[in-house]
Amino acid sequence: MTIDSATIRDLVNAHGAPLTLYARQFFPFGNFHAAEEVVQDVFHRLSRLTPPPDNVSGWLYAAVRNGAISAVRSDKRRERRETDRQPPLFQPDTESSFDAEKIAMSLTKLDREQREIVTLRLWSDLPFSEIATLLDLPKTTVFRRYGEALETLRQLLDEP
Amino acid sequence: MTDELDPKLREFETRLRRLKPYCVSPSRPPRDWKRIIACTLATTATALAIVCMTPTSQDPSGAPSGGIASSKVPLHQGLTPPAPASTMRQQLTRLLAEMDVTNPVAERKPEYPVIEIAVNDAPPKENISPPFERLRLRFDDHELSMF
Repeated sequence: MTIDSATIRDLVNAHGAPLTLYARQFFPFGNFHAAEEVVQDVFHRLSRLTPPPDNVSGWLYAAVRNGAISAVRSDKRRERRETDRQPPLFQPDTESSFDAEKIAMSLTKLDREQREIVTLRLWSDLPFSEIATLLDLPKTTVFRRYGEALETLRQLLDEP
Repeated sequence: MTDELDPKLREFETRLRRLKPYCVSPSRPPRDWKRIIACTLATTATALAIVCMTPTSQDPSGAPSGGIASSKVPLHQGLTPPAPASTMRQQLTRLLAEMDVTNPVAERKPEYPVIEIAVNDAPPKENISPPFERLRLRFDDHELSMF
């Protein structure tokens, strides 16, 4: 028994954007199209999975992570081709004084693991325990690295 | 655990959270939607490529022109050995009839009015090239039809 298309569609609506943002952290310059392809492949696989995973959200993030790592390894040429026309990482921010583009640029200054942790925590709203499982790190390490990454971002953005 | 963060960082964190990840404009059918169709089709199809026909700037009506393909989604899952294209077409017709594919379109003004699904009974790795047997789906305001 597989997940029906309507449920898949709901899952895409709920998780598509944060999963794509997460996948983009694996590609230099946040390659949107490559990341989007990874996410779509994951939903495609999910739709065919029998039986469906118990923890769908956890499965999605793990699958996107594996897919993105694999895509980066196997498709460097496409990556270079597609770096010229990239949509922004974030929607234009209307609620705060943050410059979304500047934040996207600052994220690139973090190492990949920090970008993963920050993205998963802030914009996917995953608890530290799930991030720790996903990255196969102790929870305390994840928390420490998260704090360090936030501090780095704060300095890069000249925040008081 | 977040409570253990420095108050300055916590406030910074709260502000960062207000940013929303970029998502595909709701004004056009997202690629994930195409993929969902493809997923359903791929359960019985041998090989599919979905080509989204983009309108050009010279064509304000949004009609497809010049056969411009914005994306191809070849799928290589399916029957072994490949079924003939005519069988695929029958299966696709039946599947499309069964699928609830009009709702996502009805809520949007599609920027891409035509999606072309190409079915090929050639070996999977060669299915990018013609000959395709083509099914073209046109999205009118609330209708999805094949022609």
